[in-house]
Amino acid sequence: MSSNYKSGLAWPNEEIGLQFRNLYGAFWCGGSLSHKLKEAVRVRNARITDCGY
Amino acid sequence: MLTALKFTDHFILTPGPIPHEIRSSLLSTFTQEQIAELSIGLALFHGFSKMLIALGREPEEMETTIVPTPQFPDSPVSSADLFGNFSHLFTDIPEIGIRWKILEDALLSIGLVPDSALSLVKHRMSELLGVTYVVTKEETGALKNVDLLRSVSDSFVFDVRSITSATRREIGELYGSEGLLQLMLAMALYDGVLRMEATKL
Repeated sequence: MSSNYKSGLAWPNEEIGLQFRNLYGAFWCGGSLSHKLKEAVRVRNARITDCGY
Repeated sequence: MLTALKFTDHFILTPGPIPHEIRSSLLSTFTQEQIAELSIGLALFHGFSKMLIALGREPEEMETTIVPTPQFPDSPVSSADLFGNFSHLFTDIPEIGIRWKILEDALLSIGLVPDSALSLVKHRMSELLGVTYVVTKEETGALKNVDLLRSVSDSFVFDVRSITSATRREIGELYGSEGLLQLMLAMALYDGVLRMEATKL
């Protein structure tokens, strides 16, 4: 099991971790929505879901 | 910004067809590509937040850490890889859709949780979210632990904090600790894509 200590995420294997980072990176660095809007939505989700991230 | 936050609230709290007022506001504020991008962001944030809660990996004990913005992946992908259930959700954002599909395929290939169990979970979550996802009896007929899998699916969609350490232990005894991770990762992806489908945007 691999783990990213900074985020708390854990993966069944390195391949899954790599593919998640590729997906997450494509979302954050691609497209045309601003980072500000993406971050606002991320924080809104965290507040509603009561997630500490 | 306000429109995006209203959409966020709907996506999380009342998943289903999007109300006319929010739809009109989204369409007059954002392009189709941006709406798809917003939806996939919500799917990721919400699904993986719940995955971390379900796994009991919350940051109360961690110091505040600044995590850098992820980098755009340098591995090329082909739009020919984008197919399968719900692929229409990614038509306007193929770079993301293809990587979603690659992650889902990699997850299925682990093989610790039987495909039939994952099919049952996805089907149960689709029922809860009012989305059509057909599974044949042949796919799930011989499956054991149906009640447990349905119960965990219910919890993941609408009451993730009811997944306790006892639940995790029970799943771990069935599939092992890495199988538990596989199951929760699959639930995060299914929850996200099914909520996207449910909005009917």
